[in-house]
Amino acid sequence: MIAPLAYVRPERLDEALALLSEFGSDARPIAGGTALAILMKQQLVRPNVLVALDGIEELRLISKTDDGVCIGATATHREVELSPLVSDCAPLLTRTLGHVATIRIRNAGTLGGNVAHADPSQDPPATLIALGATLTLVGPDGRRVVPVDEFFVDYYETALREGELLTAIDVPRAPAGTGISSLKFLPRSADDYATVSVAVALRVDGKGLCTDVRVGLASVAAVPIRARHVEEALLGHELDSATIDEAAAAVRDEIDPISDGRGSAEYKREMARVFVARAVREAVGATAGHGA
Amino acid sequence: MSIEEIATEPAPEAEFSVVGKDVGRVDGDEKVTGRAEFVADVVLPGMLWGAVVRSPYAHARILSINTSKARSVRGVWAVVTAEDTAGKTWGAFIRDMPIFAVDKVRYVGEEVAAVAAQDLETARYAASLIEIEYEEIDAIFDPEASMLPGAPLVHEEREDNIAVKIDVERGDVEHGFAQSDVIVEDVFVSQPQRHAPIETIGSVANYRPGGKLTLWMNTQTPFMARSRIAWALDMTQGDIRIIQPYVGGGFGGKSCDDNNALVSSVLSRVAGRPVKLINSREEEFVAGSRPRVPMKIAVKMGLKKNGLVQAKSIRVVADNGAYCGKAPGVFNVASLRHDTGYRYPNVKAESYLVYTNNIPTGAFRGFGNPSAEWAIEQAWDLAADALGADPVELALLNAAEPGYVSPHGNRVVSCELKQSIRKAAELLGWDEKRANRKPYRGLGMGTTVHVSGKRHFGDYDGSSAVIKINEDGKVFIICGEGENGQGTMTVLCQIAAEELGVPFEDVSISQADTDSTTYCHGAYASRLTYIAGNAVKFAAAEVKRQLLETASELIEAAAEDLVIEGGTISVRGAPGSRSVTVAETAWSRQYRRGGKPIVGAGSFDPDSELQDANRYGNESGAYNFGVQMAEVEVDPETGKVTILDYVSVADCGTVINPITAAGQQEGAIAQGIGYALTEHCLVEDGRPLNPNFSDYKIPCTMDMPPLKIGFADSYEPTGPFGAKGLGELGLDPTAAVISNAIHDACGVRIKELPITAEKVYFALQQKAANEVSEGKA
Repeated sequence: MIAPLAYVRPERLDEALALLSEFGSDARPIAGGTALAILMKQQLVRPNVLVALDGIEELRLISKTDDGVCIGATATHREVELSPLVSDCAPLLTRTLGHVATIRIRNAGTLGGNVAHADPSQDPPATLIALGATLTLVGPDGRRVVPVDEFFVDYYETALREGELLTAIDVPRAPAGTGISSLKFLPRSADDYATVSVAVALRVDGKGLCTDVRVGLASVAAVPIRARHVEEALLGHELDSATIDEAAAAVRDEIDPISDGRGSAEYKREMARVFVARAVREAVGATAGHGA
Repeated sequence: MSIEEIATEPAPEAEFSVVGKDVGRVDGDEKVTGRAEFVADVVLPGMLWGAVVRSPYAHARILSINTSKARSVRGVWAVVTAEDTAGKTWGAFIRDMPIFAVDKVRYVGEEVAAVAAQDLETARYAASLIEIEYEEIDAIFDPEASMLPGAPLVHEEREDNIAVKIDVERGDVEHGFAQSDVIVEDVFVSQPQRHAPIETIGSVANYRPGGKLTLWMNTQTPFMARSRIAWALDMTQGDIRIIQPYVGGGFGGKSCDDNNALVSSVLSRVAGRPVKLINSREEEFVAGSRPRVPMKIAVKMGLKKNGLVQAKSIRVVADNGAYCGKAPGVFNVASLRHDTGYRYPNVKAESYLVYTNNIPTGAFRGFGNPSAEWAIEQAWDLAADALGADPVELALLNAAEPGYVSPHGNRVVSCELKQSIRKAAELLGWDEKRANRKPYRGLGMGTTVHVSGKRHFGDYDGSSAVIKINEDGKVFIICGEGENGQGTMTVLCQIAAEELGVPFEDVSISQADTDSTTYCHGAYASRLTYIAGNAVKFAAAEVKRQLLETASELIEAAAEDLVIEGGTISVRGAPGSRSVTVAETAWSRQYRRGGKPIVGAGSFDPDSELQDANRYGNESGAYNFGVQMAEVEVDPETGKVTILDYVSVADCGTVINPITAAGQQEGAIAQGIGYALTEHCLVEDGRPLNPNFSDYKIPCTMDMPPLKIGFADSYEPTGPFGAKGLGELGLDPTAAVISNAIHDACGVRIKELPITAEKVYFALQQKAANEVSEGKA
């Protein structure tokens, strides 16, 4: 006989944390279940206890903060996508979520679940990197705040410690005049993981020089990454076509894609170049009129 | 009615009352409300669940199997291996496959053992405890290498790995090439494609101690399944009853070439209880429906300057996988069928179907045509290029016509291929778009010919149906052809209603059940509207005769003067005269001294022939034709192909149900686009790497381009109300159409499917590099 799977649905965060501590590695938290259910079906993950987080009201709130918006970890993609608070503070995130999977999946999958799952092919982490988001992690030893670009450690591995939960994602308000772009290259199907996914947020000053830029990328390495070489090649420069192309070409050396059904590593490097250039161009275009 | 009489029946001028109308699907309400019962919904008292142990190796000897741990698990009722079977091998054309592997395994996923237990988790757990010791042996995956002497033998009792060879020449191709002004030749490679139905293959087997086996099985072909299962289990056909529940999509993959129902049957016999066995999606990918036969096709074609084709020769190497299934039929079609679409004076086909240690391949919508047309319809595009001709004009010049007899003996009766080509060109705006070219945009086209039933399982390709008129006047069709989602039940009800003159709502149809319906081959070869439609029409004519015989007594008028309209029988041309309803007539015929039911049978077997030893013979009673055209745009920075506009026009004779017919084409095009651009089975040492829908991408609704669907104005004299087949032709030429359009758009031609963005991107890079180096030179 097989031991049946226990499913518990606490209503308070401390109860959930206590359960996760009690069962240790036998337990897994579950939110939307869009990723975990597949892993369990494929028997890649075999928990004995599922701790459902969807009964904890405080975990799914989206609220205004002094410098931006705080998104509860179990808010669904769709709730975040449709939130006026989010579109006001971080229109880039709104835009990215609009092309994550399908509406059916966005209605189930949660933003926190997406980040904690740490699948390098997911789009939202790249956008959160471009937005300079921070993550709140709560565990037996208390609460800590981690910048999103330090959260992803390796393929499906994060800074989360045993018994710790991601509870909130803080996104700072984008300063006025920020140009944004979120592009996802889907050569096979609109319902697929990206071959390369790029998010860009940048500003230019009155002289047309780039004063701030963040470029996040997904699907091109073991973790979602921040393209610092690209950023360095843009920062302080006038963003003309040659500069953008040269900066975009730098992305090839800071990514480490794998060959799979979505393209060979060689192809993905080229496509990262193409889509970084396209995204930067689009972001620059979006700053027009806000430059001063 | 004899064939000759049907063949001379003129196109009726009268308006149809039900045929040609968008009536609702007879299975629609049940399906959209979720009440339709599929095989997974079948639950019997005491039912167990099955789980299968499959080979992890592509080619290995089985040294030992130890089932003792599995047997000791509480809740396990049966653990079976090859020892529990009759030891027979089976197959549609060549009987080469066991139910469970004997002595060695030949592909990853092959059945080795199975467990029945009280629930699925227990069955799977027990299956994981079966210990099998293997010794890996050299495996062979490349069909061309597999043909060479010294290749590891997939079936050791055979001399080589060539399962079937075709070597056919009609006319004299060398003479034809010598007469040609232009010769084109190239090699094209196609990939296996998965059916990807929403419902995987499954069965519930209930073997009773008296020796009767009842199987609920989601097969497209219940009676063919019965005969194969009877052979494999060494039982008589009458001891097996197959009931077809609703089926969630077949596309050829559910035509009983896999072991699912045999495993559940063996488990049920040993356990003494009903057993349910439903493939997981991963199992469906490795050992469920048999994927499309991949082929490497070298094609050579010669034409005169004026565009008339002189000769065509092809050499086909097709990957059979480890067991034959339907692949011998598929590769026969790929080798010969296309010669019915264009008027080729000289043709040659040299074809090899080769065993490998890949997953067995087989029947998939199109049945050889998509692989062949992928190659040959691109050869026509090469020819148009070489001649500087418009591909549309070249196709019109060479297209088949009514009365055409192909070099292999296929006799074309109705044929509106030329009309279809003109209509498609008009729908796409071919001429205007060709005249106003835009960068990186291109046009492509391709044509197809398909059958309406194919005589290849012995010398019978007919159908029979029984119609019973109930005592309330409602009409019930008893038919064993079955429904797998394509709309057959609705179309057959329309045909019966039309013939009888009763409202469509008064007609219903049985599910297929081999104990209570007449013998039927089932759903394959686009045969049901044409062949079963005729059988139902003739059955309706027979019950109509009985109705009119009785009504004649009731109305006191001669039967030949009576007409049935809207369920009422009256004297023709005499409105207001005495009338009687079908219900009253049926009741009156039954409920009297010496009363009889109104019940009649109809049969139809088309005027087709079983191919002779030299593969000559008219394979079908009617041929359906199609043409597709596309406008695509290629992104030169990424290689991504966007289909801007897609047109498909079919010549399927009379369209019985327009919305269902359009749906058939739309769904087929989606499968064709997947075949062309995205669907790819990644394999390593025979092991599938992407057996799931996250990684194996079929097009979704968001991926579909704008479609323009058309039908030729056409009438097939041998078909029911002029109808012929439609189900498959909608994807036959699609891959070639898209490839031709890509070439037109950007000058590169990808010769190996699927045409991924990456292949186009690197081909464009190569082309640019070549142009630079040529410029320097």
